[in-house]
Amino acid sequence: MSNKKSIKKQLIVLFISSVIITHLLLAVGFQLAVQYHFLKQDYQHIKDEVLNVFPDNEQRIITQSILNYYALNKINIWVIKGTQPDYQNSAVTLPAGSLPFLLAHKDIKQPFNWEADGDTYRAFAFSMAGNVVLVAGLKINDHLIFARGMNWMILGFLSLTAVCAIGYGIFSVKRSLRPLKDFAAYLATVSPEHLSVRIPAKKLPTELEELADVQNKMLDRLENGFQRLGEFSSDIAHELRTPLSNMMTQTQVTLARKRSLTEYEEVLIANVEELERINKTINDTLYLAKSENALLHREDQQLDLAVEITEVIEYLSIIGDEKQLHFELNGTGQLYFDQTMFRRVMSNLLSNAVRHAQPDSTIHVRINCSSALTHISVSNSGDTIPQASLPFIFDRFYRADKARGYQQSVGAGLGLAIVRSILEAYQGKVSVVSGQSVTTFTIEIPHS
Amino acid sequence: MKLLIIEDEVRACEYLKKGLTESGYTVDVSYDGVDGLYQASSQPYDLIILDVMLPKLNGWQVLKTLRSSDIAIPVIMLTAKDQIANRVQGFELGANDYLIKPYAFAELLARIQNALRHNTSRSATADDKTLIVADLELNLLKRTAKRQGKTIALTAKEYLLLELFMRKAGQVLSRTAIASLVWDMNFDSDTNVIDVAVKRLRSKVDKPYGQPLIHTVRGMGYKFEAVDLCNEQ
Repeated sequence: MSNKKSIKKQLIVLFISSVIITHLLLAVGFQLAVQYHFLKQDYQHIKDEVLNVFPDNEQRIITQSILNYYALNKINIWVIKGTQPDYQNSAVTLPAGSLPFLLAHKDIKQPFNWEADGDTYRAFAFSMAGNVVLVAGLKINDHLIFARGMNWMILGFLSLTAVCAIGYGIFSVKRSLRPLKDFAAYLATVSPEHLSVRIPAKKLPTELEELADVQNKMLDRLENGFQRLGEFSSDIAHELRTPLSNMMTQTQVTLARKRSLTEYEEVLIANVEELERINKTINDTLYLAKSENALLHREDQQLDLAVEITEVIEYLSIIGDEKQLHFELNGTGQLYFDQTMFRRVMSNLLSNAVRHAQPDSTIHVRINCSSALTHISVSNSGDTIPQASLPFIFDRFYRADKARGYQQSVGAGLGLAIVRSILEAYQGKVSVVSGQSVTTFTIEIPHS
Repeated sequence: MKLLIIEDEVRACEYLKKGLTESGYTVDVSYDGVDGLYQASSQPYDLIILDVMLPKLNGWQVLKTLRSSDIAIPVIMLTAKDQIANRVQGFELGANDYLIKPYAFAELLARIQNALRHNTSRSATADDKTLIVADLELNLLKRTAKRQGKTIALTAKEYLLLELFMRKAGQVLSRTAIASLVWDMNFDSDTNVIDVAVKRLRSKVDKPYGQPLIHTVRGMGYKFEAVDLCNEQ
């Protein structure tokens, strides 16, 4: 037999042993109760028989008439004077060694039992007048027969219940553990290609339902993760294909015939530019992947939000000036955050606002700190984002304006995805509202 | 200045060597750790460019052996893996700098110049109060710029940008480096802020005067340099 733990084995052993132990305890208790009952009965009986004959209970003087009475009523008695037996009215003799016990236990419910000639006797001692002790006894064979009978009965009963218990135990344990097999059968079908399997938790017993729920949630997460991974790979392949095909065409066309030095130089420069874009896409993608997997190195510090945002505004106002954009910052606050990450979030949101703001308008930034949350909103006036696009604009590589396609200063479409993933690393959120020529992005960061 | 490149990728090595030779360095090449270590310890080099993934003996082991035998040549590590632990390990072992592939060549050049300067205790060209390139003069105390004797009105950031250009005169500065050093934006933003900022600085510093000092190095970044007009196309 292996030493491996088996719930089935353990449960059956537990069941059987608890049945047997309960029965044994019951049997012992029963035995003790019966024996005590006999003892009480015997004592009372003898006491009544022996002592009732004395006219004066205080005196207890043994006279010949009393002895006669005992003989007549077939009560076995032994009279002990001092420490020596003096008289007995039957052939049964007190065994050696019984006297000191009997003399020490007078007038109490403490019997001396012994066997003689196949019979069992029980005797009690009573003190009489004048240093005399009267020992009275009776045969208790019937008690013993009764007790033995009862023992057999209990043993029989015990074996019967044990057999029943084993049978029932095996049956019920097997039956209640059967759902585990089903459970395993379901899980066995899970694989990367087949992640849609869910365990029917409702059909399972309560204890397993919870486990099944947890398993199902894990499968949800895995399926989600695999799906994202798949999308991710195809997204990035697609994203890299565009600059690569640009480079390929350009280079091949150039090489098709002899060109001037300047033309070659142009191609090389264009290639470097495409390569830089590829590099940036890869870097941003890696950054996203790292932040989603909590691998980014964070150096959190207390940030003065107004100062940080002002820095970012000053940086982006350089391109904002080209469109005569104005910036307005309201509110103050403190936040415990990584400085580069915070600036990156604000820079992505603000550059997005600059890109889509209509010329000569104002971009509003509002900081709103409550005790539990920091809200920062960035709004610009300009074309609104189509409602249908709103749920997707934080997805990586998503561009609301598909036709715009690939443009110089626009990144790979990862800016807002990076914003979201940085915020998620801080248990924060980002949301967007767009309508009536105003688009507002709001970030929400809980104070931990 | 003599450099040693220890890198097993033959093509990368070739181009590195070409680029560095053209930048005025004498370059030796080694393709594996054991040979690289031998060369580094048998000949006097001013700087070593060390790849991490190398056959026979990896970059960490080469660096460790060098440092434990008291060879204090500046070492710039190159690696494809961007992991904090890696970076920390590199610096702990005594690397002077650390670059992640793919890196901009201009960046590598700048790092080499930096490491070499650290090593040879900075040759003082100007005093600590002014920076002068051609007819442009920067007063570091007053934080003002003058060209041909005329004061140029600059914003604080424009001044910082100009100071950066002048301090790194002759070096190509990537847009990322400029954003990080002047605006403290330590990430690539999806914008052309740097281009616009440089354009504006040019309109103040270069446009009114004959000789341009800020040059665009296409595909790489910007360079501040007083070039003779006849060399300029």
